[in-house]
Amino acid sequence: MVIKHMIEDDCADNGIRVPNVRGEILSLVVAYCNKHGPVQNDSEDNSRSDELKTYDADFVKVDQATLFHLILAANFLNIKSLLDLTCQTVGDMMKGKTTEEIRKMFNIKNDLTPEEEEEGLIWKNLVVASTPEGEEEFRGENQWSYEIW
Amino acid sequence: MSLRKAFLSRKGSNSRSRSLYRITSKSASPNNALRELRDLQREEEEEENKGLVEKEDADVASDPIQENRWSKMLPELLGVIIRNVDSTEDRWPIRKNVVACACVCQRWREITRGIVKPPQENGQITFPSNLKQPGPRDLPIQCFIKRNRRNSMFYLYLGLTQIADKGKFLLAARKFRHGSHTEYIISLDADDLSQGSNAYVGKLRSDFLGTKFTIYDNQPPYDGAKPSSNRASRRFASKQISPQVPAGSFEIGHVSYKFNLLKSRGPRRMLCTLQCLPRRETVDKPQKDCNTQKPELSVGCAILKNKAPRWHEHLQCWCLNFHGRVTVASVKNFQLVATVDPSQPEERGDEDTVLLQFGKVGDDIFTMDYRQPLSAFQAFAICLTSFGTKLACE
Repeated sequence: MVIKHMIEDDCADNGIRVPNVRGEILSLVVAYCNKHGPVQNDSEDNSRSDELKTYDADFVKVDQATLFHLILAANFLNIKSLLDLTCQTVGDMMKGKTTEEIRKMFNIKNDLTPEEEEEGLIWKNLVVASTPEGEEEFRGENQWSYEIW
Repeated sequence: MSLRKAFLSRKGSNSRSRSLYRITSKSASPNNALRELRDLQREEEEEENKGLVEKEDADVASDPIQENRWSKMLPELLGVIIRNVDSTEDRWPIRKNVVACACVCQRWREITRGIVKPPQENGQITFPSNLKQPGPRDLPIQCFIKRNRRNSMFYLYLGLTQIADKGKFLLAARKFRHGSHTEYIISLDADDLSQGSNAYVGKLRSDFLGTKFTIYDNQPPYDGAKPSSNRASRRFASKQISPQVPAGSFEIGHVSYKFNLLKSRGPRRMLCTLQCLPRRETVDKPQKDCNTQKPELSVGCAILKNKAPRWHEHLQCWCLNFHGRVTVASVKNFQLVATVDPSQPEERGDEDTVLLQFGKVGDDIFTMDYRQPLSAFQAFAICLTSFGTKLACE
């Protein structure tokens, strides 16, 4: 409820916009707060938390740009649960990706210096099994390269 | 506004910034400003109602403003994201996601390094640098070593299961026999065991009989450490590591084996001296020098010896309690306890706490469990001596 008041105070004053938060992002945040805001009595807890989980899962099915702005907005407006939700989503997006895939996904330039690249090392992830056949199988799946520092 | 509409972004996203600029440049009086603001609001509402076009990801990728925004994000926010990854992916193989984050760019590397704790605190090995940091105080890190007799190779893995069948590769060592001595080159790359490579981390050198061993680290164990003058290391120095770090070989420990002269048919005695960084000063000790950047750390020397097994009259053999981690009797098996331990208060070792345990579980498989103040690298080197010494029981 506190958060809701804060938002209302922030953006309802004479129609002045929150300069750091775009309109559509703000409306998303307001929708989130409206959903999560109201306090429950105990008997409804279980179904409500399931309902919230489903809501949250759908809420974060947005494009990357929106997610980015949601994180900034949640931080700026100090909404911890939304910040946790959005950051967790980003973490989930990165799971299982190689470094190059992460760079491409988030459009981040590789700015490691030549020295850092040269210190580059293959720390092979041989997840081994004790039988030679098992070893072959794991060796194929799990190799990637990392840099040493 | 419905959520669906909100997802669709406006076509001219620069219109907002343009309008803001317009206000600040033109406003002469508060009334004008207010009027303009109301006009703006109306304009934006009209735009929204006209119908919106979905911005494709391609636009985002090619937009120069958008590049690197995920790396230029506030470090605290990036920290929240990466901290989530660190705490949920806490076991290999998914721990690789943490390492992937650290390789994305400089910013991400800085933040990830700041977040991931050393093995002493989280019992986890994440980066190669963790291999030279001490293990945890209470529960040992469980690893295993695979020996390949054909090519004289030894491979160290971080154990992923209770039995030594699956592991994350950590270090490899190869035995090289020279005339008067034997060397084990230790490397991060199982396919590259040359001293000149970036993967080289250190070596073990033994005398002819295999009774005295010296452990060398390719990096200085503490600031200001002097390298041992070793012709071989100087030859390779130019290719190694970054210019800021002095190249060379640094003696960090010794292991020696002796017959047990006091007891006949007794197991051999091991003595191990290691350079260890002691615990940092605790808060109740007054800081001697508050002006220095780094806390005062004196280099300590840990002295370890092997725990004496008990003679089991009934079984007619020497017995050590390996707590199930060692299942095959072998003269190579040992447990090391500390007599002097700089990481403990008063520097005295607890002779019941096993700091390094090594033993056979299969034909070519051995378990290795280590804890503070030993690091994975030191533990591995000490275990290699057990393969290298020819000194068996009498």
